[in-house]
Amino acid sequence: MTSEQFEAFIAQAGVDAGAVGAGERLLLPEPQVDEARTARAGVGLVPAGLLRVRSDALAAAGIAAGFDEDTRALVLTAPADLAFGFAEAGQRYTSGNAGGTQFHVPTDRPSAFGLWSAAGPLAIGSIDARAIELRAVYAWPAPLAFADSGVKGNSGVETPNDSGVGKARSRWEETLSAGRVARAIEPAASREATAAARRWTRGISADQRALIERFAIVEAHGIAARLERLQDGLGLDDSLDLAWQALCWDRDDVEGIRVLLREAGAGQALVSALRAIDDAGRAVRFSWPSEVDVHDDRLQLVSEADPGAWWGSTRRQVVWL
Amino acid sequence: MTIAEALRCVAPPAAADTDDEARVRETALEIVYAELHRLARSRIGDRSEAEDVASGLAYQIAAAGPRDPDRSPPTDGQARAYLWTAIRNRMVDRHRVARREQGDDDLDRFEGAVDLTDDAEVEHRMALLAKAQQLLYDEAVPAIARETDGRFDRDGFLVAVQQMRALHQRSLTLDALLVEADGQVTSAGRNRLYKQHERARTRLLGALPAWLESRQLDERLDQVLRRLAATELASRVTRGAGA
Repeated sequence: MTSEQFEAFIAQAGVDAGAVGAGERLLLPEPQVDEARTARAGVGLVPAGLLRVRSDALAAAGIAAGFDEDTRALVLTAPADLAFGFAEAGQRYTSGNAGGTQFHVPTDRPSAFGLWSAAGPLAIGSIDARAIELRAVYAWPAPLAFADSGVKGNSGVETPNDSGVGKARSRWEETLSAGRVARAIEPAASREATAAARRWTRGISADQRALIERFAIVEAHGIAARLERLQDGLGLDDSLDLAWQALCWDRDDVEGIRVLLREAGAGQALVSALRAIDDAGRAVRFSWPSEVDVHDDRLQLVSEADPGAWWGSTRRQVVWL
Repeated sequence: MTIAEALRCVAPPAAADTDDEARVRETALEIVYAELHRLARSRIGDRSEAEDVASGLAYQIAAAGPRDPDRSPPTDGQARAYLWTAIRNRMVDRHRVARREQGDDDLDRFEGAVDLTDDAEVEHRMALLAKAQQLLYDEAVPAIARETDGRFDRDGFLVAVQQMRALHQRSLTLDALLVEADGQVTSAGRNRLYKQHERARTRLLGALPAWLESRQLDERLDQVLRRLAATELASRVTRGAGA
């Protein structure tokens, strides 16, 4: 995507540059194997007969991608409850055309496009002769910086990765962090910061809250899929404890979003999505093998603050609600 | 406001949208704190520790709210059991940290789910169970050990009871027990353990009725204690097999 296209999209969407996630570049299929070709389709939402395209940016927005080798088109698909719309760069987007569940994007000519929900933009993409470039869009303001909390919630905070190279946190990661501050899970968060984080979602628009809720619902669907794999006995190996710990942390992060939305009188769709997931989570938790010990400070906090939560420490009691 | 209602409404008052909402949250927090404090005081001997636990938990429980109705206990009985579980989860962790600071092994483990379906009786049953555990392990077992004559190995009896209880609570595994004692898991070790536990169990369950007779406990407490002894000290070692 050229910088002009990027600027034009930001202007059209009315978002700041920090709302746009990191870019991912997927090479278009050539006769030789490349990184855009991962598996034959029929996986998840990707229609059979297509190559599955792994895109973290699209997955975050609840959109699955496949590649049709016959027509050389990118096929974007979402379930009905995560319907979306497609608009080429420069095209006027209206919320009325965001109710689709499948779009075909030709890759035989350069283009730039945006994917939208009724509440606002979800992702941007561009196609050139060799690759597809995709970026998630988190179209809401950065959470407050939670002054004097010791917790940074604003854009541009860099967290070192394993190689020591700084990596900017996405707006979504900042929002998850705000949820942790709101629930006093972040150790450095003061009570003032907790209150400020909870008030933050009241100051943004209903559409922006709806976008946050959509991304949280997508996270919840991902947790449900991982729970299902565990219930089916998949992944029961030496890393079961680590898999469960990651699952519990992710569920706890979504709980933070639920609280943020609840403070603004929103989030009913998320609560509904979590209901079925929590039933599955409890089922797994109550048949948890006692020899697999999953415990850390965060999960201990969960077991104390909400003994009904299945995602607390496996060493602690859970109340059957 | 009932305890169940308070648990649904409780959330940080400072984050409330309106003055009315702030007052509701403050009232809810006071009710939750009062109940936590009452429960903690009834089970924790040290007054300042009970207050410390209650105030810390009240803040944490508020920070997790507001709760949705389907993820919050619907009745006061169940709300009390929920709060008691929070206290218990906190207390176990405090003791774990204390033991770790003393250099002991970290032995606390998951001890199962609490079924709150029979809500009216929950708190009473939990109190009965706690009392029965205290009577059995702090009074009955030492008394039976003291009063037995002859070639009876008192220390071995006490150790075996302790081991059977730990196996029941899953704070210890059979293999860990064998490795600690013998350095390895063998059929011979398992057989020896089986005999030791069987001897101690026979001795305890044989002497327990007389001890209970002498204590003249409340009928229900008497029943709970008998059931507790039968379940917590049931055989968990299979002779020889599997080693």
